Amino acid sequence: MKVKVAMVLRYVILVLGAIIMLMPFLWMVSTSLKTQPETVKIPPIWIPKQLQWANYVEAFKAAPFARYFLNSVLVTTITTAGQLFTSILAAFAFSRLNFYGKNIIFVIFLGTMMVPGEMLIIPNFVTLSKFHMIDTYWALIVPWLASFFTVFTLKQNFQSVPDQLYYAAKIDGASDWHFLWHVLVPISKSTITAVTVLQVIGSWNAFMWPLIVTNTENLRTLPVGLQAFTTDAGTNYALLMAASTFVILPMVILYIFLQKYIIAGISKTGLKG
Amino acid sequence: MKKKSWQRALLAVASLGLVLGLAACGSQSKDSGSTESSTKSKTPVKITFWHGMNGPYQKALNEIISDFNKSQSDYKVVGTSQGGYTQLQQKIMASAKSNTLPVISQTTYTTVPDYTENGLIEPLDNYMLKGDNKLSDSDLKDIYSSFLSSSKYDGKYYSIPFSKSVRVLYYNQDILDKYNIAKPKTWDDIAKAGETLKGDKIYGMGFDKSWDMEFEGLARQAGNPLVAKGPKANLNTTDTLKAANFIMDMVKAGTAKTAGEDMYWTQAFTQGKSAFYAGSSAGVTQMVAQAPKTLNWGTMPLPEYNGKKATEIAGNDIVMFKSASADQKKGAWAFMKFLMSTEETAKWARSTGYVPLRESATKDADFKKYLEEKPYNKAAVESLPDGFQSTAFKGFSEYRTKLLEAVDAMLTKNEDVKKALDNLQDQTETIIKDNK
Amino acid sequence: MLNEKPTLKSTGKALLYLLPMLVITIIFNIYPILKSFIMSFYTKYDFFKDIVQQWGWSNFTYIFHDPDFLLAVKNTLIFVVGVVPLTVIISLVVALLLNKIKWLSGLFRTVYFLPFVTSTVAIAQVWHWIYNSDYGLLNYFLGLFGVSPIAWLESPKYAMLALIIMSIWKSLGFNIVLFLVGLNNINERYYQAAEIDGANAWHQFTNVTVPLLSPITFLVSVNGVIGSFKVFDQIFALFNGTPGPSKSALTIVYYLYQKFYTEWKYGIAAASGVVLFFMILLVTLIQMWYSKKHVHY
Repeated sequence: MKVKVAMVLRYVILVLGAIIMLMPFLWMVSTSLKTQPETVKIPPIWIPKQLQWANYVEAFKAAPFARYFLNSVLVTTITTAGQLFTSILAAFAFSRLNFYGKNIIFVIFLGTMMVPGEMLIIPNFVTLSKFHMIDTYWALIVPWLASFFTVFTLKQNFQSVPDQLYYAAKIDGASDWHFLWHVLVPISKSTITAVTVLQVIGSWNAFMWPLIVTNTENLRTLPVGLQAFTTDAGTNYALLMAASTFVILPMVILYIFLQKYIIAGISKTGLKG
Repeated sequence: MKKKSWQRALLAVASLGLVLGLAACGSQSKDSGSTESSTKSKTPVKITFWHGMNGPYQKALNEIISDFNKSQSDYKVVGTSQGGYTQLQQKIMASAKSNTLPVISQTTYTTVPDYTENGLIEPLDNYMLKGDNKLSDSDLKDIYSSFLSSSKYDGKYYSIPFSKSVRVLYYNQDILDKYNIAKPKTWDDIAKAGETLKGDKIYGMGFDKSWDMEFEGLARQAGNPLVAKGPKANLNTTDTLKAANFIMDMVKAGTAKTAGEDMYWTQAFTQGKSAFYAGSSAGVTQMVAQAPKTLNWGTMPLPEYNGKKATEIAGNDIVMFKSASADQKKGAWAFMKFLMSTEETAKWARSTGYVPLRESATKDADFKKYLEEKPYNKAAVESLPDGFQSTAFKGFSEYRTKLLEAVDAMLTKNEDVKKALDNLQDQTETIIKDNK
Repeated sequence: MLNEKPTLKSTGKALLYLLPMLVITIIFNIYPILKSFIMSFYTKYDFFKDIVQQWGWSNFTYIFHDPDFLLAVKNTLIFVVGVVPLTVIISLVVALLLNKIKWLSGLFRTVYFLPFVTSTVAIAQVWHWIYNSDYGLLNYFLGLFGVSPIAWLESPKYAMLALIIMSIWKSLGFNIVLFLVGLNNINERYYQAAEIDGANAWHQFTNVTVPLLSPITFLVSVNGVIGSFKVFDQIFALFNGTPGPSKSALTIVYYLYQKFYTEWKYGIAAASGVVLFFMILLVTLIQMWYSKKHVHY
């Protein structure tokens, strides 16, 4: 009986929380299906009289979203893959190797997170223009190939893997490189999936940077398209919300698809105590 | 065994280096094409043009650009939207620092003093007033004087007007009819209307989030601009205080309201929350889109105050950067002149709702027809002869931040008008002194 | 291996592993950071041509005498204190609940993660509606409990609270995922062992879950502190490009942004960035010092 009450309570709390979490989204989707006068109606309308699916068509036509979508996929994929690669190597060094200056380098890296990005825009722009990378895909990718947050997260996880495993691998004659990619990485699958999801989303939603470093429409990414609905005279909310909905949809699908890997039990990885 | 892992790590690093190297080379080869200077070959000189226009505005601009490119074969203008004005400003800063500025860019004329201070922009006098492609005297007379005077800084022209709007008065005819109120001739009429409507919880006047533009207008009508040429700050003179008090008295009496979190009063106006709304003429598009079909509304020039008329012009200009080549500058000027031509400015105004830049455009047959079809846009054109622009000076954007803060403090902190403006006067004097 | 002393050889090897990350970080983080730090000492200079005529401390004396900067520091601290602890507690609780249920758990996980997926620009518009004083959802719900309408975005008293609520809402999903991973990495055996020892649910939580989750808690709180100190996007979007009514949401990064991009006062902007850096560093070092004692690996 007590167990049942606890279970019901859990669901009650979760449902209440879910409502709070969902509310803004419901509003977003509902607004995306309204006519313009309906978007500003008082009291607010939740379900529009006639669903304006045409808003989605119009929003999609307002900017070259198809091209933006391809660019977003390309930039996000390369950035995330590159970032994972550099981070896994670095996290391995920090968690499994002892070397001179380890703490200093770690603190310096950590320090890089403490500076607001708004301050780095101009110097990085200048650097990229010296490399002749402005207005190329590289400008969207290269500066983001290292993420100390990812290193930090992976290091925390790698450290929690028992040392015995490392020694066992050594005794079996495995190299560090082999141990990293064939033991440590598979064991840390759920953490790696989690940071991947987080990085993909960060990269997908990047807005300011793609605008600043590209001059050509062809190189721009999805969030840039959201600008198309804001003008001197105000914002077309219905279209903005329609566009926002289809911009985030791929991320929602990706998350639904990947979450089972994040939750995948440790039992499957072959590590027991 | 150890060696192997070393080799692999090296390989990984080398491949990353290779990727970076390739990236640098790849983009370099691509770049060299565009920086190639114009030889006598037939390839037209490329004029890069950055702007902050989006959506329908961007489409309208692209049409004009393509008209220009078709009209001649020496130059090719390539316009790119940089998102909003915020991003555009950041981008200009970053490009100025790395010597990658475009040839021309949209910007507010109030940034001109800061741009000239840093030697970024080219004075236009040599193109505009001299040479074979200059503006004729009749052109200079035809273009509204308020635009020309704001294009001038330190005795030289630095910008051309482009996307401009004025403040106009929106009125709700239904409310006026119901309460038997006539269209206002003076600001006092508006205040009186507010008293009539107050009982029924309708405001006389609605403002956008900040009333700084109406404030500057009233101050000028009362006797002085907020900052006079020199620059000299007039923020706590009797005339300025009179203007600020006029607005704040209405707000405090509950006969006027600001849009606050909504930014624009447009939405409240469509709900019939006020009889009048002092807003941007560029807002007509949004008003048409949002207003219910049943609402009877219209626009008219802002009424008189102290026996005078005035309306502040807002919007953006176009500047030319020093870093461009001589050929590019020549081409850029040709394009600027094209934008200001009677036909193009009339077309631009028709397709965007911005105001035309010269009087002759308002006599253009197509434009007249357009005004008949869209009577809402008439008020802006009628207001143009009374238009003014605030005085630009070094440190203007900092001054504007402080001005908005002062207005905000009066509205959200109930700060005393005199105290807020005394404080603003001190801050502005400091800004002027620091930039001397 | 971990107990071994560092040698030249192990250092060389480690550097190779670190190299890709190092190259990128040095070029795109450390170099510009150093440049900004140096710039904070420029007192007379041409930013565009990189010519410095005079150096000194005056940028720092300026900001410490600027009431706006002091207000920004105060607001930033309020924001950090308001956001971080609540985010950690709420996301931990939600993660624990999600971990305990089977039916519909996938759906719930997705729902809680949604806010993190959206772009700030778009969702801030939605929050505008929610916070609207006349017809916003929040006031509607509060009205059901007899609370009179609050001008969330227009009153200096409530603006910071509105910002904090939206920020917590937005960042929960991220932290829930990290906690779920952490919970997932805890071996069932520890709980089995605890159960055999007769520990009740609360004891299991305090003696198994909390200590074994401490690396993640540490990560989440360090990341939360750093992120919250740097808050800017949400303010810019929620208050339509203003620092809130009567500057009630003016934070250090907002101040920096204003000085840098609208007022062209690069040296002063850089100086405020340096002060922010040391503030974050101090707090992070305290967290690390604390974690050395209390985090279990």
